[in-house]
Amino acid sequence: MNEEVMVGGHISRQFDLELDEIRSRVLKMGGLVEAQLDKTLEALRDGDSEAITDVEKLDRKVNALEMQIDEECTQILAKRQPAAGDLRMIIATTKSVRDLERIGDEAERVANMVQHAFDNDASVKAFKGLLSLGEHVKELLHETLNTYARMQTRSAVINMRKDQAIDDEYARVLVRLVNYMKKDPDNISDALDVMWAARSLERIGDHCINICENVIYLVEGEDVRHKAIDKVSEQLS
Amino acid sequence: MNTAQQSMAEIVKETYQTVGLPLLDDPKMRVRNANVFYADKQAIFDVNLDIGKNQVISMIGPSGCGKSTFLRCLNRMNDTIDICRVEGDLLLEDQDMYDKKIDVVELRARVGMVFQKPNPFPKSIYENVAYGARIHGLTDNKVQLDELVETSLIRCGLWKEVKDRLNEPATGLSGGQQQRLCIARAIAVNPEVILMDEPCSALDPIATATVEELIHELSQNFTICIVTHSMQQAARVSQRTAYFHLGKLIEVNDTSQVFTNPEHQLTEAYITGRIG
Repeated sequence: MNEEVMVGGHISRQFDLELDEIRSRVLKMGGLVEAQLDKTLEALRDGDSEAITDVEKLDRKVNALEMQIDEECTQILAKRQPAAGDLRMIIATTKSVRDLERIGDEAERVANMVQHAFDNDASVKAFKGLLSLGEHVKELLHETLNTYARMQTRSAVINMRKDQAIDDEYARVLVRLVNYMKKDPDNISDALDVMWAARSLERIGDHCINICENVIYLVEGEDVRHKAIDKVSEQLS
Repeated sequence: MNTAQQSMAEIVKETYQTVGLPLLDDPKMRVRNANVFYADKQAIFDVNLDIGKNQVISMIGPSGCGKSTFLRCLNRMNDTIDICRVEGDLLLEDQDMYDKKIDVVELRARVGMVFQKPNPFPKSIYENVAYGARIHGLTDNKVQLDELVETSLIRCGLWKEVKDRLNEPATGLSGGQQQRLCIARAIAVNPEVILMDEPCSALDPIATATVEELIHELSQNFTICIVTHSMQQAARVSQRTAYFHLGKLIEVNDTSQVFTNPEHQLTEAYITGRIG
């Protein structure tokens, strides 16, 4: 199995530059998505409507980058017919970019729900119960982007385990919300919004794991999707 | 040699065993400990490789790596080069091809060859296909010869294009047609193996695609070994790929694996265009 990914060093320097540019743009896109999630958590914490606007502005940039990177990857496939590690890099990149764009969408969705709560004078306080989940997801996203930047399979596996903890926390949030709704039917509408927001945060975690799986595919050439984490860990050791 | 090439040469020097799956159960041809020399210069080092039945194996590698030299060993075409010496065991089924008792002309009918530059005989289209069958004594009967010529040309996808001008010179055909005629000539003598040394490098893209399609169809009934400089071609036409570097067989694996996740770093470096 490959333990190191060859980056650069092609006889064609132009090809090196093209791949470098794609990687830079993906990391830039990752940075913007991280900023989106930051602003979303700010909105959750402080009910800050400016933060919500910022999330929407960032989402437009993220979408534009997705399209640009996809086009560049298409050009590489057409011009260079990449093979082996280069081919896996392009495939992993197009998939990861899609996941990043979805993370941005989910962050925007949460921000919109907070805005909705504002607009309807509903209790924004209920959303604060998601801050812990939000912070864990933010940490996972940050580690995922590091994993991609450094192309490390070991940290990819660690991140995959962290997502399990996030799933567990999400399940506990749901239980709390159900109990909240049972207490008073008037709470149902607010609780549902919070539930959808929690679902979006949990989905961000899932997208992070997709990116980690793509990194494993890129580095090792192994498709570990739909495999239990222990099996993945065993396979890579 | 620049620094990258120097380190690659060192890696080759330290590679003693071919990675992947060079050996098969029940192969059509078996090569063991093949070493080839041009006078004092060694061109092939300790190659062990099985050629699978009714399969296409492509041989890739940088210029001068020994892939064409190795291919020519498989039907003793290196015999025509005075300074070339082949050592090792090379078997067609269970028969030692280098046994002194072997009729090399008959061997080359069983293991046919198609060359880089199409080389039809300076004869008619019909005679190009019929000639080999006639001199090998496959048939002398006109009706059977006609049938053989037609069948061979049909199999090569050339019949419709030439059926109304079989008596015209083969040299009047286009490059792609000439190459298909050469393949028809090779299969007319009912070979078991067809060796192809860069069969498409002198052809335009459409002719190349036609020949590649033909290789795919022929592989149902023949064992085919193809040397190619085009990695995309190797990826398209073959089931197994063998990578040669500085005379050593570095890796042999399923083509899909070689081009998505090769085992050896030299294979990866070559097919990603880091060495050439």
